[in-house]
Amino acid sequence: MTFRVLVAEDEEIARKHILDTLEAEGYEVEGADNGLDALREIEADEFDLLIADIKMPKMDGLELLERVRQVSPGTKVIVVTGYGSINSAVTAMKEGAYDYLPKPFDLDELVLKINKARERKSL
Amino acid sequence: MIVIADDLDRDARNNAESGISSSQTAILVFVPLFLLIGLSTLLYISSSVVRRLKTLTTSVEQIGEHFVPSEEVMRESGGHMDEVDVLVEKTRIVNNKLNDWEQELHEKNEELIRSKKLAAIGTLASGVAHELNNPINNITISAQVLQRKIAGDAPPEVTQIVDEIIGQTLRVKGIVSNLLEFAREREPQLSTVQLPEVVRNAYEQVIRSTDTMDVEFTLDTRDEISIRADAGQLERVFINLFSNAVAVMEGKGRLTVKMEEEDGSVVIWVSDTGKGLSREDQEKIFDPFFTRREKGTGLGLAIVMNIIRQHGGGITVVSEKGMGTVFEIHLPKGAD
Repeated sequence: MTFRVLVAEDEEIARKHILDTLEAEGYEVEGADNGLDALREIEADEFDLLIADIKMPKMDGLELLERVRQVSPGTKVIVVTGYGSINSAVTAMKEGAYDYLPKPFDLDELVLKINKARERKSL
Repeated sequence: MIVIADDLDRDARNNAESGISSSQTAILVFVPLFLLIGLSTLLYISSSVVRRLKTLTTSVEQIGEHFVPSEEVMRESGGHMDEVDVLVEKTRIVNNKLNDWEQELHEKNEELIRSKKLAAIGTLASGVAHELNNPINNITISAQVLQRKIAGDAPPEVTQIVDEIIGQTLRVKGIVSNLLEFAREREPQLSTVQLPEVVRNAYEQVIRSTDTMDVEFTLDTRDEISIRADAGQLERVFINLFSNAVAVMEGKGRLTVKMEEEDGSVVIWVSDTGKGLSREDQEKIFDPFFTRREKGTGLGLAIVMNIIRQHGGGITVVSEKGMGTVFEIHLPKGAD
């Protein structure tokens, strides 16, 4: 069963490495470098999971989360916050995020969280 | 001849008597008159001077607080003070008050400059920390990808270098975390906390991250001392103080925490048997970015100071080169 992941991250290096790593783990992946493009992707296509950076041009992670909850309630959202921005993480969780990850994060930790989300879906 | 002489003599006597009589009349009239005028003038001048002195005294009194002569001054004046004594004494008191106020103003001014400086550094620190987030994240992720790709294939020194890069990014993560902690200055979330418990938890956390095998830790207190405080922030205070103490003792020595309750407040002493601080270092020890350690960020004690102040308390340091260091913390107990 395929598990589709969209990575919304404006930092090219981080986005590329996350996409490569997840692809190597067997996920079907797409990337977006701003919040608005990510929303368009989700409106046009189905995704099981969205990884959204909080700070992004055009539309920030929290607004993207809110819009995704409306247009695609089945898509789980993991929010990536800046280190120490615990308040935005709390807000994101209240707004219905599946999980959050503070920067700088461990790739293994990210993969672990996504694996868990996939296991939940297949249950 | 004799008759003529007698006549002349009588005339002269009559003239003299009349002169004496006029003089007596003049004396009788003018002396009391002059005396009266003199006394009136004197009375006028003295009452005017006294009145003016009183006005001056009242003005001086208004500048200062209500005047109460000290027992010593009353003794010296034999229990009686005239207007000039009172004025001198009042001027002395006002002068002392002015000196006190000048000192107080100077201290408040220093405090204001310090807090403005800290606020500016806080803004800068916060900005820098947030900007560093993305580059650090990129370096960490890139190094992790490299680590995955070379796993098992690369020569050991290459693997070691990659591990070092990841280790150093974790170090930067720690610095950024300290910067944000320092800059955040969030309002304490007050609850009733048991101080000895907070101290023990903090030391346990230090044990986990630092080698404390040769440190003798003592907590000298009666069991229950509770205050209204932010438990997390207070724990941070003790973690920072203990980490510093263990570092300056180079992992060997005695670390003692003593606490006592005073009227409405708690006093805590944290003492170590380290190298101690010079006078110059004691003045700068709470300044952000001041450090005596090679790998220190100089933010630990600045964070401690911020947290203590946000709780309405104070912290001072007493130390001597070679004699160890004692930090004394005062914290209000707060309403239950």
